Amino acid sequence: MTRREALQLAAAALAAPSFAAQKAPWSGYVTSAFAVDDVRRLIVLDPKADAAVRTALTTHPAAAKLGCALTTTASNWRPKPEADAALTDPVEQLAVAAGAMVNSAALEILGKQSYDALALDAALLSARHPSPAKLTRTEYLEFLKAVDIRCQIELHTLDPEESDIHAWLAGTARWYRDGQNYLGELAAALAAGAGSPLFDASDPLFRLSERVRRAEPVTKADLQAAKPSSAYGRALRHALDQVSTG
Amino acid sequence: MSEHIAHVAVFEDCCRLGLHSGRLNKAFRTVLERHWDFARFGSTSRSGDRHSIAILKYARERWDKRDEGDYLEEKLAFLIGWRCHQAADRRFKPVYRELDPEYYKTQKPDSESGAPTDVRILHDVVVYREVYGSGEWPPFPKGLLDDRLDSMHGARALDFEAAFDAVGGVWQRTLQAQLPKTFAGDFESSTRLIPRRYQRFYVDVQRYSEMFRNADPDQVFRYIIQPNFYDPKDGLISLARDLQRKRATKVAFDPAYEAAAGQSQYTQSLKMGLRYLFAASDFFDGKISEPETRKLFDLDKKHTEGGTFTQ
Repeated sequence: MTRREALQLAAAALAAPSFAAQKAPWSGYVTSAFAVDDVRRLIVLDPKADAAVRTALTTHPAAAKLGCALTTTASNWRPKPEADAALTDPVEQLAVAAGAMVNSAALEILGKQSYDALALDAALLSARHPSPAKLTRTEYLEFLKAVDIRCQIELHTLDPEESDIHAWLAGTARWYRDGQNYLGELAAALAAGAGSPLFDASDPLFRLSERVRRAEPVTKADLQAAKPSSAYGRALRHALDQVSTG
Repeated sequence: MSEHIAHVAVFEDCCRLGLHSGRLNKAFRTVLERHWDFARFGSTSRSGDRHSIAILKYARERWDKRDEGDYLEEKLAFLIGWRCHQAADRRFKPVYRELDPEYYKTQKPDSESGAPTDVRILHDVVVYREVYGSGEWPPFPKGLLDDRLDSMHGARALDFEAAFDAVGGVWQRTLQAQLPKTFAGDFESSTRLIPRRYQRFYVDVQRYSEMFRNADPDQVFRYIIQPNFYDPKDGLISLARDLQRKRATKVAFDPAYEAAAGQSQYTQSLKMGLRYLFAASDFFDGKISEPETRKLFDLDKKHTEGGTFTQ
C-alpha cells in the first residue's frame, strides 16, 4: 500500500460514523477506563510524548475516558481551528481523541486472544487496593452501589437530551437496567476472585502507573526499564507508544 | 434541598403517601410497583416540566396496548419521578435564595460552573440522617457520606478513588451514549461534540462528609432550625416514616395533608409533590382537563417563583 492509499483509507475511516451503540453487557468498559487512566499516568514519564497530547490526557481525564466510546481513531490527529471555538475547548477535544486512541490500541493487544472481559475488569479493579481483603458478593455490591450513588451526587442532576425525549427515555431505561446488571456481575466476578490470565498485578507497567498515582518518586528511566509481563502491560505499552508518537 | 438525597427522599415519601392515600390510579400503582428504582432515578432529573403533559398524553393513549419493548411503563415511572423533582425544586429554590442571598448574587446556580451553596448540601445531610436513618434504610447505605467510603466493608478490598474513576468513567461514557446526536457525525465531529454534552462530576462529596461529621452550628441554626426545615412530628412526615419502616400508624392521611401547608419546609414540598401526583393521575384518567393540569402542575410559574402547597 502506498502512503497515498494509506492516507485515503485513514480519511475514509474518519469520515465514517464514529460510534457504535453501547450495548450490554458492559464487560470490558472498566478495563478501557483503567487503560486510559494508566496511560495518563505513564505518559508523564515518556520523553517521546507530544506535549499537547500529554497535557490533554493529564488535565482532562473524563473527556479522555469518554473517547473510549469512539470506534475510529486517527494517527497524528489534532483539533482543527473551529468557527465555534467558543464552544469547543481544543485541549478537551484532543483528550477525547487521545482516549479513543489509547482504548483502540489497548484492545488491539488484548484482543489477540479470547478472554473473559468481566474477569479482567474485576482483576484490574481489585489490584488497585494495596492489600485487598476477600469479601462476599453482597459486600462488593454494596460498595459498588455506593460508588454509583456518589456518581449521581457528583453530577448534581441528570440532564436529559430533549430533542427526542422518547428515544432518550427508552435509552436511559435500558442504560439504567444494564448498569445495575453490570454492577451485580462485577461484584460476582470480584467475589469469585479468579483473576485474569491477561493481567498480573506485579506487571512493571501497572506497578509504575500505581507509583505515579501514589506520587512515589519515579523517573523517566523507570518507564524505559519497565518490561511488561502481562497482556495488559503490553496493551499499556502499545497504547502509550501509539498516543505518544501518533 | 435540591441536590440528590433530598430529591430522592421527596420522591419516595410522596409515592409512599400517594399509594397509601388510595388516590393514585391503577397505572401509577403498577409502574411504581414494577419500576420504583427507575422512577426514583427520574426524581434526580431536571427538565420535567417541559415534557410532563406530553408524556402523560402519550402514555394514556397507548396504555392498553403497551408491551415490554416500548418502555411505556418506564416512561410513566420516570414522569412520576420528574414531577416529584419539580416539587422539591419549586419549594426549595426560593428557600435557597432567602437563606443564602449572597451566594446567588455571585454564583450561577444549577450549573456546572458553580459549586452548590452550603444550604443545599446541609439539607441533603439532614435528610440522610432523618429519612434514611444515616443509611439504615435503603437505597442510601451506611457509610455513604464517610470520607472515601472508609467504613464500608468494600473499602477493605477496593480503592475508592480508583473505583470511582473507573466506574464513573463507564457511567459517563454509557450515559452519553443516550445522546445519539453527539455521535452521529464523523470522528472530528464527535470529538468536538462529546465534551460539550456530557454529565460532569462537579459536586464535591467531601463537603457532605464534613457536614455529616462536623456541621457548622451557625449554618444549622440559619438553614435548618430557624426556617423549620424538617419536623419529624409533622403528620405527613410521621406517616411517611411509618410506611417506610413498615410500622403500624395512627396518622390519618387527609388531616395530615390538610395541615401540611403550615408545617416544615420538607412537609410543604411533600404536599406540593402529592398535588402533582394526584393531578397527573387524574389527568391520565381523563378526570381533569389539560389547562387544569397545567395549573395544578404550576407550569405557569418559574421554579424560583415557587409552587402551590397551600391548597
